[in-house]
Amino acid sequence: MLFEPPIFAVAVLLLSATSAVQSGEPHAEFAKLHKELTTAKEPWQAIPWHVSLLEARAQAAKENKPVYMLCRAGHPLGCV
Amino acid sequence: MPVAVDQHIHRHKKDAEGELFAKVLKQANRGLDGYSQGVYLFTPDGKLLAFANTADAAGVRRLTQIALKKFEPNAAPIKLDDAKVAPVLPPPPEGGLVLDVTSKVLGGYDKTDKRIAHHINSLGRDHLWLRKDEADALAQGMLLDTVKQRLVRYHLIDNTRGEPPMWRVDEIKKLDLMLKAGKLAGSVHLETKTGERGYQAELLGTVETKDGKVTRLDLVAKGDYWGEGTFSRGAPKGRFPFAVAFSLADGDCATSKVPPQGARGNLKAYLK
Repeated sequence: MLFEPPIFAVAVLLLSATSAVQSGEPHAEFAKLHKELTTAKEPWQAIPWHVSLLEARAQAAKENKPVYMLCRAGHPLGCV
Repeated sequence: MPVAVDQHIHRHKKDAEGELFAKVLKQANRGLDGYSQGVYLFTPDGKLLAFANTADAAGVRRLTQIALKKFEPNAAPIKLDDAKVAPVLPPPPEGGLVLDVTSKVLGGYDKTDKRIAHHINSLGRDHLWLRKDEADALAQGMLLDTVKQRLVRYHLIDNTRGEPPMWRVDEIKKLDLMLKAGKLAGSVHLETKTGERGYQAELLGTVETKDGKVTRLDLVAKGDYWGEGTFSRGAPKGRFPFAVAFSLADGDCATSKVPPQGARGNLKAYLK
């Protein structure tokens, strides 16, 4: 329930269908857009990334695994 | 063991973290003063197993297979210094807020152009940091000017194709954002002096508080963007619809620990 129309908009709805539509549409559209963008998940987000090479290396040594380093201009978890 | 680094941050580190970074890069014939983007696989003692500058899934799979063939899981364990590792990234302001910021170009790309197909659904992700005094003010129903300025200068940017230029103070042509009875509403007009890059958008949102703390902050900016930056080439021609969404971050998530892109190299100026 994002961007619920304010109470006054509900009152306007009772008085004028036209103006109520004008008040409500942007809220509904923005709420939908907010949900789309903030709930969009990508596979890389499920990876348990480290941000320190030394910490990753220590954990890799404990688990007997190699280190996988992703290096970008701009932080890869930023993410641009 | 996955680790993600920003070359700009790591190439300036003079400690053990920086030494390991430099050691790995050198084996891939990369220096600290040049282009070092890519995927590097190496052993815990720093021996490079494989490297390629690829973001392609098939390429990464091939690279991983090459590295695993060379890796000896039964090799003698290495002895590591147990000294406490210094934080690589600066922490967010104590008592402040961290917001997830997600941006998207909503249309305008030439869908027949295969070279830019990967841009069409691309999301830009960043974080907005607020100081404690700014968070406290928000909890009391006040939106400080410093928050408005930071939000538009560093976060209403098209970061969906790479590192974009931020807005300068004198590029804010209009900034009208109000918080009233828990509702955020306003509009913004950002434009460079030459007019070659700009963003005109409406903003709508909600702030909720409980026991003097902000418990919800949802905000969306939507409008027309135009232009691109040196490192964010390939924008749609002319004006195109562009949106940015903000919401409180999950503090336990590793990705939320990454500082704002606009704070890189100058956190003090970002938080001013």
